[in-house]
Amino acid sequence: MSVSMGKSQTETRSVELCLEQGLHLRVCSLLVSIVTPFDGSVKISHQDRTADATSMFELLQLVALKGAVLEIEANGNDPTSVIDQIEEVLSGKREY
Amino acid sequence: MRLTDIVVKEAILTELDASSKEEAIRQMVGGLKAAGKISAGDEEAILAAILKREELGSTGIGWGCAVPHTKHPSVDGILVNVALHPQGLDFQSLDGEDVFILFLVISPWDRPGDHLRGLETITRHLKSEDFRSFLRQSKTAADVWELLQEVDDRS
Repeated sequence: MSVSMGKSQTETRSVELCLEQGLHLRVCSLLVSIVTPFDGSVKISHQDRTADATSMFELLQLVALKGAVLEIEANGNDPTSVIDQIEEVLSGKREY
Repeated sequence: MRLTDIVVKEAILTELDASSKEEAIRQMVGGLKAAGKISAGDEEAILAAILKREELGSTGIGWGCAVPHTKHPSVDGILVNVALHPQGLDFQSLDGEDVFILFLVISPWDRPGDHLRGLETITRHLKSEDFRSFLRQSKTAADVWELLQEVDDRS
């Protein structure tokens, strides 16, 4: 779902985590490297926890195992692109 | 999960004397062996696995903290060793800063949930500036243990 607010846009997407070892530290590190250059903010939620995706410490609080459904919310310039990259990682389509 | 349930009290090192990441990790693994938590026969394999993991990307997660880790079939439950490097160590951390606080984690091979919950417990406390500050001020293993008990009791 994409909502336009002036130049900034918000997009949300649910993604199933397909990684055998869950959302482990190396994946979190990769997410931080994807999100940090993004002109805006990205939040990833699992159950009742929400993490700023630029923070290793917050991402590690999500404790998401394989099969978990993560909610991604990106707000900024071209949120689709950053969510696409995140989905690629979480769905196991991107090598790391 | 409580820190005092996973940290090996007898292995805590408050004055790491290491000039490299490898040396620091070696001393921490050695601490777990000396505490009787891993066998001499497994020590080198565990060390090699942790160093190999570091080659894939540093576990220096920022704010002066690192969580080198591996999974190994010889352990039944999560083993954690805490070490302090008062001078600061180049760990090729994500934020480029030296590391002063290390939590080395060895998890059972086939329980990714336990591994993630262990990392969650450790980083939940490391997020706190007060916890990091008090930890860095600890002079003895007993000081560290007392601090871990305090934060566990408050959780």
